Amino acid sequence: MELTRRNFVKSTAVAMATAAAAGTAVSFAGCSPSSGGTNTGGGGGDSSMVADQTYTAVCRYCGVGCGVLVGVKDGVIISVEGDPENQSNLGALCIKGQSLAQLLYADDRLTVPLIRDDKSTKGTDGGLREATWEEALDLVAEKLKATWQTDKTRMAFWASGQLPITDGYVLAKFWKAGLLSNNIDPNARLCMASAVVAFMNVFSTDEPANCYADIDEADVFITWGANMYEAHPVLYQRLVGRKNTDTNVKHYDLGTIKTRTSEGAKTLIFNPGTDIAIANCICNYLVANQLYDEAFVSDHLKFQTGMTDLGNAFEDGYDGTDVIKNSGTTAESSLEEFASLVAPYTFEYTAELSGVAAADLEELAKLFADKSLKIMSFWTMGVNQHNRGTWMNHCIYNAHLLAGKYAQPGCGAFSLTGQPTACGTAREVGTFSHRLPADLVVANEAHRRYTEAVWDLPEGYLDEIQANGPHTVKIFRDMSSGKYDFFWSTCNNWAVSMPNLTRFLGKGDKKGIIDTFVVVNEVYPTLSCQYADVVLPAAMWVEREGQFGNAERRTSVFEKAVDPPGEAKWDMWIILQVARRVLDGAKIGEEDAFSKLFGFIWEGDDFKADARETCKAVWEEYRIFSNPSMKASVEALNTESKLKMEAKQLAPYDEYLTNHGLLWPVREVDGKWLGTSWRFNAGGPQEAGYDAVGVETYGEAGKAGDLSFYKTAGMKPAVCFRPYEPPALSPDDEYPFWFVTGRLLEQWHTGSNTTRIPDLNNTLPEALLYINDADASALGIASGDNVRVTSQYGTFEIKATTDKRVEPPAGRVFAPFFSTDNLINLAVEDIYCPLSKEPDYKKTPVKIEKA
Amino acid sequence: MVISSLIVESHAGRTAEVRSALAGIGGVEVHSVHGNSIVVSIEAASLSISQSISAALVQIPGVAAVQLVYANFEDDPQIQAKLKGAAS
Repeated sequence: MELTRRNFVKSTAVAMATAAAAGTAVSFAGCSPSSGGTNTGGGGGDSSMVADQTYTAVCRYCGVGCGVLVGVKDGVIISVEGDPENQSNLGALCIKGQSLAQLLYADDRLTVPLIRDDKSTKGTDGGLREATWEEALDLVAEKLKATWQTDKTRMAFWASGQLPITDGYVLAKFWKAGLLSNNIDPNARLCMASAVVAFMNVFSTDEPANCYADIDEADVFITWGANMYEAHPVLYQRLVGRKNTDTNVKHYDLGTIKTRTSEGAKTLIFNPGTDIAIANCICNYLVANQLYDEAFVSDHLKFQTGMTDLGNAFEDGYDGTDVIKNSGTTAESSLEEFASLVAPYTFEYTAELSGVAAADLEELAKLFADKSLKIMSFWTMGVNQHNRGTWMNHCIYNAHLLAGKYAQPGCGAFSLTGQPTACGTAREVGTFSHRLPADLVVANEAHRRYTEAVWDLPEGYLDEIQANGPHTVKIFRDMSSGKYDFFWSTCNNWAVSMPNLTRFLGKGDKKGIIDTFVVVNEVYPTLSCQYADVVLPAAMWVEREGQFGNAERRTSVFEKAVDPPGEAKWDMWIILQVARRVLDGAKIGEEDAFSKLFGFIWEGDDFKADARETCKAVWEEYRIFSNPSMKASVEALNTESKLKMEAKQLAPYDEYLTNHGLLWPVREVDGKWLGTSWRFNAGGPQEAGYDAVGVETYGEAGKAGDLSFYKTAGMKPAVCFRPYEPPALSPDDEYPFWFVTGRLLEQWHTGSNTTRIPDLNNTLPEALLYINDADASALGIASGDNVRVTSQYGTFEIKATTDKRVEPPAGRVFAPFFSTDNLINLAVEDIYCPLSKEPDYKKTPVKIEKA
Repeated sequence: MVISSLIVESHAGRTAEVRSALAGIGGVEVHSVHGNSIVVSIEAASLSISQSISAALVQIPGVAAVQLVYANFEDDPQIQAKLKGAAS
């Protein structure tokens, strides 16, 4: 780089950071050009000194969903910049963001389809040969079609919270309407299902009412089982920024281990599973002392009780037991009954159970009782990956709702997500085994009629899929028992991320994964590819156009900036190429099934239009679900069945490009499409981010806090009592330690991307088992020693450390799950929450021996 | 050179300590301080080295978070090779 250019780039970079630090983020001529792939010219200097083109995008990694501007020169990405116009991150990126270009450029990208001819080579790094797309697609379609026509209970698709929205929508339509199958579930089952079930139970609509901007106004932060420093770094930075602007702002970190998120916070370490008791303790304090928000309770809440003594999913037949079939049943209750049920959760009892001092519990409870304080609760996997994960979500809402601290600026309860589009795709387009798009479910007749109307299907066509399909753990359990013939996945790495891999990878006496015909869409060779019969090379991130929906309901588009390598293709193309082969000859009524479902975007052997126009066309159909007025038959059903589908209203496609992302519901007001920062809150105009249109259309004005929970029956969310029930397994003499798993900053999820980025991998090159000093000493283990970790499920080797990046208390150990070399999920239990079916990755009893 | 700009957020009361530590790291230049936010640039021969430096910033005592604002890596050897490949 010539000196003048170097000085220019450096001064530009510094000016941008200075503006961001000073809170005056601006766009700089010549360095932060207009988006949309426009030729930037060189407003601030020589045109050769800047990127040829800059594209708007969204980070590929976690659920924060940071906006990114991608600079391209000669078809190569040469710069990344936090997008100051994307309100989710306001120009900030974490250190993974710096490496986004390298995400595409590692040497071992998959560039041609691969086929395995000899199943005995499964589980090895050999056995795959190169093939043409035609051969690979024909083979996949032949196997899928044969299974579909013979016994479609023996096929499944495992989708993803990393698959772009339009691709996920097309996939759901193919599987649910094309194949008439609910044998599809996303990897979000492993991370978000407990949050989803609780949202639906309490509010009858998925996803948070609040937004990230609430961080800037909160007085108190409570992190429940959430290591935001490592897993949601840009939000954690925003949280720290808030604390630094006002020293009165408090942060309480509740968890079973001490993490970097604990630094600067009051850290309350509790015994595994007792978080429910702590939340009930807060509620008990509020109701026993009449310190709840009486107006909020009177105007907005009802009370329920639920089924108890649910046991745990040790046996494959657990879901079929009467107890679990009825586990979601609730009964109407009252504040008085609720008070009596939480009464046992005194400070003293809860302290004894949880290990948190009574005085600290009282301090926490008094925060909720203080009507002047704005409290933001955040939680992630400690709450969701829990044998009572749905219950724990309920319990956090119980505390916030009783205190009247929800859906208000700076004040709410916020479930964070771990993937870039767990919300936008996995949850919103219907890739769960029980769902249809836009919060609709297969078991509800009105929902099926509505979906048929959007998809122009004959009335009753979807009745065949009215029974829920199998959830993820059931799919893998059944596959390991030889009950599957066809399995297809994309944008995930199940051979690393699933619990109980000892069973699911056929390492025990089961060998189902070997016999099942497995298809994997991937960008890099992963452990899952080693079990695949066909590997289909996928375009990733900005090699194609797509959309992500993040944790705060923000939908953003990422533009295609560069071409994919070799013969790699985007997922939507791959899915539809298989779909047209499988549906060849199939009819819906008198019409060709494939043309009926996908003729609006596909003709002959390819898309009708380019990627932008294809995405727009798919989006416009998907948008009908939340904009029923776009189609008369749909609008009639929305009115007749009182579905209130505009509660998730989405905007026309171009609005997301123009606005660098929008928070749904998006309302058209005076010709402008405006997002919603606070759902159910009519405390201000839509222009200021309030849900003015939603409340006016469906809700009631003049209620406490100007709120109206218009999606919930009777407009009253339920405070549902959920008791403490112990973890499925607890340490004993044979397995004396709790094993907690999780994520660390540099390596994202299963490491299939980040292990290929040299610096991220050099910074965190291997998974380590974090162990308490005293425990290490008692076991004769020094930092750096190899140890063997064994549970009743399986065993693995790993290097131990007493480093303080993670500080487990005595009797607990922690390891991240990214490493294929230390496949920690070999030993993790596959016990799941009975309501959400989400596995508990946080509480496996293990023993530790020096290897 | 690979050039990037970042904001290093310190915990309250530790900004001077963090700034001093940053000033001692090769390739890092401190440009300004806004409350607890310290604006720095990193210049390095490769993206990998640049990332090593930025990753190390996280480890400095008193640092709460490191946020990347802009990174230009067109001089990174891997990117240069791709650019030359694209041009040929």
